[in-house]
Amino acid sequence: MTLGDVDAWAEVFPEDLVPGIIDLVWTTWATFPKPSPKEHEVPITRRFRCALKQAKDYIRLPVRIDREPAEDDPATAQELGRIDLRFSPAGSALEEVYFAFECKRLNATENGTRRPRASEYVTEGMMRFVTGQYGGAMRHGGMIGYVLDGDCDHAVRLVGQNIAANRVELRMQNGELGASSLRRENAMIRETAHDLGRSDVFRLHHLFLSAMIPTAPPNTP
Amino acid sequence: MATATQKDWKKEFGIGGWAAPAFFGSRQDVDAAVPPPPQAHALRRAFDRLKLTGVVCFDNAPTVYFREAQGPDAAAEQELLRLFWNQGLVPILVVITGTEVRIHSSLTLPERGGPSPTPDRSNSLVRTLNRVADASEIRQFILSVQSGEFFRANSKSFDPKQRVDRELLRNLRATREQLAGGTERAIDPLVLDAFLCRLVFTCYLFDRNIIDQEYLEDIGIRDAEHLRDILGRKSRTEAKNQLYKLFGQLGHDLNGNLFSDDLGEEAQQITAKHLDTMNAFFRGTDVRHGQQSLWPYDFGVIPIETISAIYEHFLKTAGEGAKKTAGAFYTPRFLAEMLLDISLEERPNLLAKRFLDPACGSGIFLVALFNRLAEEWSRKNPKAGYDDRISGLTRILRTNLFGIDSNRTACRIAAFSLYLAFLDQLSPPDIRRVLKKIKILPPLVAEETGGGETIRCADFFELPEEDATRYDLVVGNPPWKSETDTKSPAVVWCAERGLPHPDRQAATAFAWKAPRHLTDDGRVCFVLPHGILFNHGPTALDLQQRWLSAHQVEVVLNLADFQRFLFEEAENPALVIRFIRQPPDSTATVRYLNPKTDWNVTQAEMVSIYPEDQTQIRLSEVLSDLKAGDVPLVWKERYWGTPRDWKLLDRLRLFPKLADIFGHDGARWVVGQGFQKPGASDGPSDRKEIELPTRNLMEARFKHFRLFLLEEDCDKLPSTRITVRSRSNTNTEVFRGPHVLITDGFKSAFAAFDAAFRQSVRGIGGPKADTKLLVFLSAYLNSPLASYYLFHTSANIGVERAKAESGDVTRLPFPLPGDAPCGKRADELVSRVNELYHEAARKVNRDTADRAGIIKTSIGTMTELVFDYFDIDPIERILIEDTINVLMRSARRRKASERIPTLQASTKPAREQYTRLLCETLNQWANGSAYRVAGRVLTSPESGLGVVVLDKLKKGEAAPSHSDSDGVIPVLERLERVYRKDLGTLSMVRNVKVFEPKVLYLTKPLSQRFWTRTAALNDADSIAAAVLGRPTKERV
Repeated sequence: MTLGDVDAWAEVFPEDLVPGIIDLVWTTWATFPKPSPKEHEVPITRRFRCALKQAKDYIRLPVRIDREPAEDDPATAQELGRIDLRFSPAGSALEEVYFAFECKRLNATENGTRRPRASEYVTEGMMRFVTGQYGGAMRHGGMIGYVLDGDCDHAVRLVGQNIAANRVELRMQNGELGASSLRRENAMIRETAHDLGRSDVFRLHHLFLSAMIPTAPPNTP
Repeated sequence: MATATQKDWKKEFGIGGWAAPAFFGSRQDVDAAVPPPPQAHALRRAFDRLKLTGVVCFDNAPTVYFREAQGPDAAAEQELLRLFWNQGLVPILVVITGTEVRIHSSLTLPERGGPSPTPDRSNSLVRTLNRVADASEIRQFILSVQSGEFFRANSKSFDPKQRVDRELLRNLRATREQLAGGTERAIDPLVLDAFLCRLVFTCYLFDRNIIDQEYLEDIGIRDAEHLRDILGRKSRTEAKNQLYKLFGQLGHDLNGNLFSDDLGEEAQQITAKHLDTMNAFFRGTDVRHGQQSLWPYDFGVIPIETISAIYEHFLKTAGEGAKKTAGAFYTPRFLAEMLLDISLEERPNLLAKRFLDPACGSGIFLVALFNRLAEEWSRKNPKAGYDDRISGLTRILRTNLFGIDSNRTACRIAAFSLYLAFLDQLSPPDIRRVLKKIKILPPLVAEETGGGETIRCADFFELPEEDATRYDLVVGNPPWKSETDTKSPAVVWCAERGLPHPDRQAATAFAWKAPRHLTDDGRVCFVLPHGILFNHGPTALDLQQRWLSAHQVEVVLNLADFQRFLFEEAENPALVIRFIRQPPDSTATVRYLNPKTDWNVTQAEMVSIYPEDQTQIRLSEVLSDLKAGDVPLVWKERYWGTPRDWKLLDRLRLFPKLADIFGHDGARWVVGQGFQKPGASDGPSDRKEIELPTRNLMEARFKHFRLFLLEEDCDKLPSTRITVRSRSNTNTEVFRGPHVLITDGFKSAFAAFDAAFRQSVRGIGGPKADTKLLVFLSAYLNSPLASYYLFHTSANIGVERAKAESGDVTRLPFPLPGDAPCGKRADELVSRVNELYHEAARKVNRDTADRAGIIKTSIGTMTELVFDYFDIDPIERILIEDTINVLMRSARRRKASERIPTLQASTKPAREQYTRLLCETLNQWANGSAYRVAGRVLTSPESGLGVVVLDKLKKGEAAPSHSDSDGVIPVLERLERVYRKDLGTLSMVRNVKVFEPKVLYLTKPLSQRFWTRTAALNDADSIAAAVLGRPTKERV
């Protein structure tokens, strides 16, 4: 049972430990066997979830990655083409999500041609945070873009354009895919701010993960 | 100058500011409390008859009675103790005199024979404290009860076997045996049971002053005030005649089913010996050895639920044969109350609902429900006169409550229990007033000739489910038995509907049928054998998939850890499961409660569910496992495992399993059970001959069955050709070396040579080229890592039996070197283990005397290599070590003892280690913030409590200095003052986290369970969880 003023202790855990989660994803991806340009996000995320659970940083963080099975379409019983990574506080008996990544592929090869899929990233990914898919305890959310051809600059640019075009629906003031306030030095980690009617702005952290190269952090944007 | 009595005793006990629902100071407090306190009716009775000054409740149960004595009056106090023991509701009574505090237990037998002792020499006396000299101890008393320390320190004074219900049960059982064996002519058990019920009922009427000397005189029975006087008549003929005269009059006045038998026919079977036996029983004489108690039972104060529960036990254990066929599992009173608490959560307005117990037995659930309904009725009708009250309560019996049982005696006893409960809600003057005017007891049992509809003597499975009758709540403890009769209604009912019915378990059939009788928003809440969720056999998994898909399970209370002392007669551990008739949606979760053994439950049967023992499980995950053909391990993982363990188990589960090496065609390894010798009753067709590859026979009981075996460890069979049972394993490949042998009790060893073995051993064999891997497998199976995984995932170990099923072993994670998380080092680690094996084998050959020591040392060294192979992190090691050293040695114990690691008092070094790790972990996460955390522990061994104090400090800021007043009691007093309202009946000492701007307090008992390194990691996580999960604020 918890009593008293929990808010007073929030300042002990900087940014609600989101930097630790971002680092966990980034460093795990570095050694993760990379997907092929044709691979869909569901199997990639499945494998990636396993890799995250084996990571040393994960053992040390007070979070638990949920065993969320891919959703089935109730009409067809077919697996839907989306899956996410949900993080719950490890010490909570409640199955309450406090941070989640929506995972989308970008620059994928479909029928032999490259498709940016930036529009789906925004409308099927980011919008889920805006439309209240997740509970009231979330202050941050995350988007993972698997950049399947490795052209991250191109992916970031197109996603940025789509965000700007959907600024109102995304409840953003400026429609900007800005630099990360948490990992400013990494150009492939970005951030957007959304006004969801709460006292604090809701921040989405965007990680563009290249399927081509295990890299050190790219230069500052 | 104020005398001690005039002082506020509540302040002395540290409960000065307490109010309902944690404290009730009078009957009026009970009446006024919203919602009503637990067992309000019994509390009112206690205030009236015991003249209490206060009652403290914890965890929704009355726990301590207080009574201020007006002056030294030994007789009055003796009477108080008599009532207190007879009620048996609350474990502790505190008598406060001008100078002293006397603490008594209701779990100690009253004195037998001899002169009445003074209260300060009574058997029930636990402690006497001086109100001035022992003020500190008095202040810590309540805390010590909450923490369990009081029960630990005074465990000899708290023995549930000596409580009124157990004592009455033993005596009643002996009485019935004596009645049954008392005459040459066998008496019909139905007649006996009816006779006993009626006598207890009549005694109750006298004890509550509903009938008295005047009533007896009115029917011509002179010189008698009580039933005891009639039974004690010197002339046995006169006694019998007067007894049946009384029965006849009561039948006439009360109506009901209790007196509807042919009393004349019954009287002919009752002999003087029967009357002698009953006379002794009602005078408090122990029928087993003839010793007389200081006082006879007082049925006017013994709660009706207790009488009903006793009868249920009595009913189900009347004889060994009856016990087996009935599926004996007695419902203790506290379990019935707990089940109803769970059933009725967020279900107001009980009077508008219908309740069914489809296997009602003696009616314990119906009685407990009746009391709750009566409470609601009374609150809604505060000004009702006695006529209205009688008709209101009668309506409850007739329209709200329904019971079914196939046993006729059970139906009769259920009606008897409900009659008692009904009368118990009426005041004796009211009853006397109407007794002559109306037939007060409504017929309850459905008879062919009419009667009531409340209790039906029928088989639930013959009741049509299309019946228009629907119930808002179906509750009960259905029988647990494997139906041997394939034509039994339950078996046929399941078979006709194609429903999985593993082991033809009767309780499972009830779980299938009960929801079909529910209203749309109705609930079922049953006590069920644990196998319904824990078993891993193919039919069990089929059942789980279909049953869990069809009905949303909302709550599971796992009582497995209590089986060996609370439900010792049950063959399986018990679960309380609440579910609804609708299928679960994708977001459905189950509240999973796993209380563990502590001093409160073993000594006083007070069940406390700590925050650590409560979790939520997503049903979609369970169903996803079942759909994929996997065994859902979550019920077991979350039984003893902590959130940190779940993470580690989750990680280990990602590795290939041992089964992956042999679970397919062309597999490189084989697995198989040993041969089974034919039994004496096996005929020729049940036997066959097999040819073994060797005459070596390795027995499971061999004392050095660990790590590796030598050929000389084997016995020699006379021949390689042996006769086995026809169903025995015939694949003899598994007897060829190299192989690893594993016993049912999970002892395992590598054998390089051929060796046969019996059914209680399993073998895993492979080609010679895999010898090194098999040696490594043995090292792994002998390591704490494998034991850890097995303890947290096996269906049996730590729950029912210490037996590892085949599936438990083959599900163990075992990546081959190519898949090992340690990467390229895997081969090197396997080789190193093999070197250690050869070295140990050489040493054992040279020095057989110290074989155990050599093997122990080898396993210790090999364990490090196994940990490296699985890339076990130092944090994960902590979890493994604590599971092996603390949890595994504490699970499913028969009683609390100082030897159980979880219950042992923590040591100062352990608490320091805990605090260090807690702070290190928090500071690791605080890295990057402007703050750090510094911790210290305050302890109070007398109250069995510790408080962890975490100071939030700016980096570089020194920890504040501590004053002498910075102790457990002052801290808790302050926290109690500030937060008492938020706690309700929850205890402040049961792992509460209190966040204040600069300090965080964690309160917890001092027992070791809460001070392990695993507890430190989990406490750090739960602090983080509280912060990370804090709700966001909507913008105003």
